[in-house]
Amino acid sequence: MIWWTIGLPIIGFLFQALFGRQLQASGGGKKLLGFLAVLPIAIAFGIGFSITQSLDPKTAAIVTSVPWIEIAGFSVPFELRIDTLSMTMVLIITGIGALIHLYATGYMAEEKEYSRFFSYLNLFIAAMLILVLGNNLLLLFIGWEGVGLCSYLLIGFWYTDLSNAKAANKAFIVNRIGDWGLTLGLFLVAALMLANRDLVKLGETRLLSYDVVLPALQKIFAANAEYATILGVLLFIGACGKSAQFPLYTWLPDAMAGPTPVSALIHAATMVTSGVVLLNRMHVVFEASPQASMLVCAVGAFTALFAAVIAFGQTDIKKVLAYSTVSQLGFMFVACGAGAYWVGMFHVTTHAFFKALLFLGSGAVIHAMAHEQDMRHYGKLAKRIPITFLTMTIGWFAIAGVPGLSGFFSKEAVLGSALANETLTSGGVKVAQYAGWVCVFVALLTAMYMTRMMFLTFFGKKERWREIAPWTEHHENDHHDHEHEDHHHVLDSTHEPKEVPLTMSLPLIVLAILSIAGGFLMHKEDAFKNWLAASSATEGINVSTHPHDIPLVAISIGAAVLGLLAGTVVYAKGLPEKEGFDLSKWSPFRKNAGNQFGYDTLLTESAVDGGRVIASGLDQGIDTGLVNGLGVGAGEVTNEIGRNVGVLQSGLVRLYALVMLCGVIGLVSWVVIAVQGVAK
Amino acid sequence: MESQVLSLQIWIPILCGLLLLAFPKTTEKGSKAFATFVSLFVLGISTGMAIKFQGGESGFQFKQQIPWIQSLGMSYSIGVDGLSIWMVWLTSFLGLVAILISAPETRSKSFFSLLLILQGTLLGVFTALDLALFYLFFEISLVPVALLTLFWGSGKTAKAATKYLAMLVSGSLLMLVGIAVIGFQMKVATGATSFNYEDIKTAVEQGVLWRGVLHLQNFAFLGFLIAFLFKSPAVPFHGWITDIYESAPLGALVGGVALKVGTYGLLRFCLTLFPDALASYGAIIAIIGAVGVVYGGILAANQKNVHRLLAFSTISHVGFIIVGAFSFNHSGLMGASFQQFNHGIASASVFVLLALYYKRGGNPDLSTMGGLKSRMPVFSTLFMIAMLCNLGLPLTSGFIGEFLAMMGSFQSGFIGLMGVKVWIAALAGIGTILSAAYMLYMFQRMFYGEAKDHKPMKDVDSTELALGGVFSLLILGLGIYPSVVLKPMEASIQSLTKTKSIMTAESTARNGGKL
Repeated sequence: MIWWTIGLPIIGFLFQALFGRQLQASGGGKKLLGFLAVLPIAIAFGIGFSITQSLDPKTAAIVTSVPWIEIAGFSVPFELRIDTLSMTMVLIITGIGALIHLYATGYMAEEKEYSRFFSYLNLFIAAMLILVLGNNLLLLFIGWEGVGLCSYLLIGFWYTDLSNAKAANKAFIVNRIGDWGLTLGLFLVAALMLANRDLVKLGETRLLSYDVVLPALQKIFAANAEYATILGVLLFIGACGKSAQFPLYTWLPDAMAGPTPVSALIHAATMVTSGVVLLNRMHVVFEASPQASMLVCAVGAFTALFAAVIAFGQTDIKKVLAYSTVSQLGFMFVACGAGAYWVGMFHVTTHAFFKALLFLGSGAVIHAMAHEQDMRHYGKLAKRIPITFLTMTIGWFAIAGVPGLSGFFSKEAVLGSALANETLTSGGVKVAQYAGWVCVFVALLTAMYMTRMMFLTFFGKKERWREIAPWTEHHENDHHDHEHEDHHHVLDSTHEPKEVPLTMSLPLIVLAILSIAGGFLMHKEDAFKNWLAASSATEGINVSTHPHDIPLVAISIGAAVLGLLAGTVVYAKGLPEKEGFDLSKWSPFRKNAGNQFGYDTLLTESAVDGGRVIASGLDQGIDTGLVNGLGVGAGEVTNEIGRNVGVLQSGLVRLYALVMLCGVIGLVSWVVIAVQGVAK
Repeated sequence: MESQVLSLQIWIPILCGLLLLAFPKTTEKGSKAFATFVSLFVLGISTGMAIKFQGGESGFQFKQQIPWIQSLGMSYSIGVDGLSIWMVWLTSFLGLVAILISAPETRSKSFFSLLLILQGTLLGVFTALDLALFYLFFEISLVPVALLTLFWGSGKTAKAATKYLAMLVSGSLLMLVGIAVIGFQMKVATGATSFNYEDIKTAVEQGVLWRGVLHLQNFAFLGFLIAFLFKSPAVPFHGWITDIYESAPLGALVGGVALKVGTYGLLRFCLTLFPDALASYGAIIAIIGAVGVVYGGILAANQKNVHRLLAFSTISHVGFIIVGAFSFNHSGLMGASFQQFNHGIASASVFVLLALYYKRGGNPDLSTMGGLKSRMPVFSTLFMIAMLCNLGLPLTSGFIGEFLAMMGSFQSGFIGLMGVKVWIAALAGIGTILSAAYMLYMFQRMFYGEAKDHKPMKDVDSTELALGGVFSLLILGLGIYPSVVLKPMEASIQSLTKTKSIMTAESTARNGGKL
């Protein structure tokens, strides 16, 4: 049964890929294609839901199928693990996935290559499900690279624009850096298992399967904790790549080049949370290593802060949300680092609701604004597109942490778990607690920059696109008019925004409801904590989310309210009337922040240019030298002989004959010597 | 039991190739059909043989032995085991593919004749069980490649062909000396000069061959090693490959199979015949492999010509084979052996697709390409699959070999086997980042962006789709179910590790595992 959750999206992918083009050419084909794209995901959700219904939270069922890699002493079968962690992710992926597929049928309605888009999207769902459901690290790795591939394909979906293709390349290559760490982590696990065969059942060759690995690792680390640190760091490098943590986050903002439903599904709700899922799966590693946990905490907190500050400098509505995602992922890692893995997953879940909502909302805005993404050209949209506005407001309050909404509960749990942790100390510094305080501040910033985004978009004194002269030069400067769109469809002063169709507003409404109620339902009576207890926590290790001497609730409400207020004060007026956006007194800072303080540029330039220098240095300096030294030396002689091909040919033949002769003489003389030697 | 089936495979292409030369000039046009037919026949035999091959046995099968120069202990002795069975199949398969995609403008009779001879001699190399016979085939197989490059290549063909011959012949001369040393030592050790691989291997396993002559062993080892490193090619012995790739008209066959002779030789001879030399130098060779992975990857990213890019990519991929082979560990060797087969498929698939592109007037300069995807969507999908295989995506055949090779190397490093270190695998792992960089760069250059010219560029027709599709199916099929290839190899690979386990058993047991 569980195989169908993966099988259906694969069938959907194959169908779209093989027959989509023909079907699309026929009349009404797009409607049918869209329906057939949503259907497998929706059914998969149904299957996932019914399996979850009958799931005992304390057990993990393993479903094994055919072997994949099988050699003496090592095997990796196709096997799935049904437990609370994997099924939670399955529900998020297929549930939110189905909603976003539905939304995309409307959003991409004018797209020429409709079926190509949905084939990638279906393939993504399949890969993501393999990632979370696989019962061994190598199946996780299939999914890990598979979602990377789909992300690459979808970021570069509008490939005729080379900047999109380059953003896609960047995403894949930066992820590969993370994957390098993860692969080494897998090698280390396998090597540890081989070196400690006595901990594994005799004849067991599934050296990367969770049910074999996790109990054994616990015992190995109990005796030798340094391996836990090394393994933890290696796994975390992988997580940093996929979950866009510093220093590997730079691909995610660029990934916004993809269509907005992709940003919502892949680059907000599901794929980027893979790192958190990995840490949950492998929690025994981090539990055994305070050092690795502290690293996770510190990197998470720093990324959260760094990305939140950068968000203030963005003018592109999707970029604000992208940095916000990076920042929120930082929150999840802080919780995992503090040892509260279930809290990380809690925030994954609520974040999936409200961030998908916000992204889809931004897509609705973009849709309404003729594919313009620059917030400087928005303003006063609240009445024009009321459904979008209302649902996005719920997302805004949820991410800001307004009490009662989903974001409040998960964020409070994150802050609580970090602030309550007093065991992670390095040189007397309580690392986790510090990370917690940083997160409190970031929570305030989050409320503030989201307020900025909402005010710039929906409020203000005037509809700023009215100031754009029809067909002015802004069109050339801007990079958002996509091939797929009707070319006459460009934002100018005459534009009238329209609300989105039902296929797009329905997902917004459902996600808004989830964003309101989801957190409370999971928070109530520690429901989510108990649900994940067997898969994301070790029995006997108690992680508190309630610091005893810090008024947690007051702090988290305070941060949210203060942030919302500050944002309102600063941005309520909208943009300074005549000066425009970039001339206020904060503008130099904002510009700096907008450019990620030069970090990405530095990195890209040093990697690309530096790489080029190294490569051409090797090419011209060493390789040419090697080739000439070792190769041409002998070749030059024959080159001398022949000035043209005819002569050279005889030269070649002569050389060859000579060599063969030498060979034969050599062989014969050796044998003669040998015979003589023996004769003596 | 004597079997003639291997001899058929070797000599039918060679004799038919010679026969083709003797045909009158009027038959130029039919030469491709004739060569295709011959090659198809050989592929049929190979496939049948692969099916009948007994996977559980480690020894040689389909053996045939005829006395040749008895006074020197040389015999015409051939056979296949798990290590060579797939190389034989690959040679037959890519031989056919090379013929199918070639359309020489002139002298097609000689062209296809040389292709057939090349195919036959390569089959001889992979099946020879007598060192002298191996050397003979090894040498002869160099000639067709040089001649094909010289007369049908483009650009500086003379330079490429000369460099190729000069480097590989000088390498193989060293091997010849090594072969002679072994034959001589056989006389000393067992009383009879012999070049028979199995006899020699037995003598090595019993520890009689090299008793008291460690210096001779090192000397012979070096000869074999350098010959194969030239052929593989490993850095810094790779000088010939870029020029051959750039000008040779048949990168598919050369890149896919001819240079596999090098890595095959490493696995077949270097790993089994020189246990003490391996203990001293094995780890260094693994390092050469890992450096090659990174070196090839960096340089590939810097190329403007797609053939030069693929040449360096080959160096990088071959590095993985060497890393796996010199991990002295079952998983590493399985990975190396699988990667050897896979790289034949992976590189040939790219070359085949490029050939289709050239047929439409394309040229190998990356800066002139662009925007192919919108004009040739099906072609771009086929190319995408080939690219993904080359960058080692899981569930393509490119992943299995690299992963097992690196894992094996890491494991050996972890327990300190034969001086291998864990950082060798970590270094080779950087190759997977680089392969993504240069492969995606190539793909972007070819397919994305706006078209730079306005050639019509028709998408593939059904014949071309079938040809490209076979590669796609092989890539995905072997990626999803690699056991088809892995299973038959297993027993023979295990016997490779057995040879040296005589000396390394204790060191393995002693070391509990340190990073």
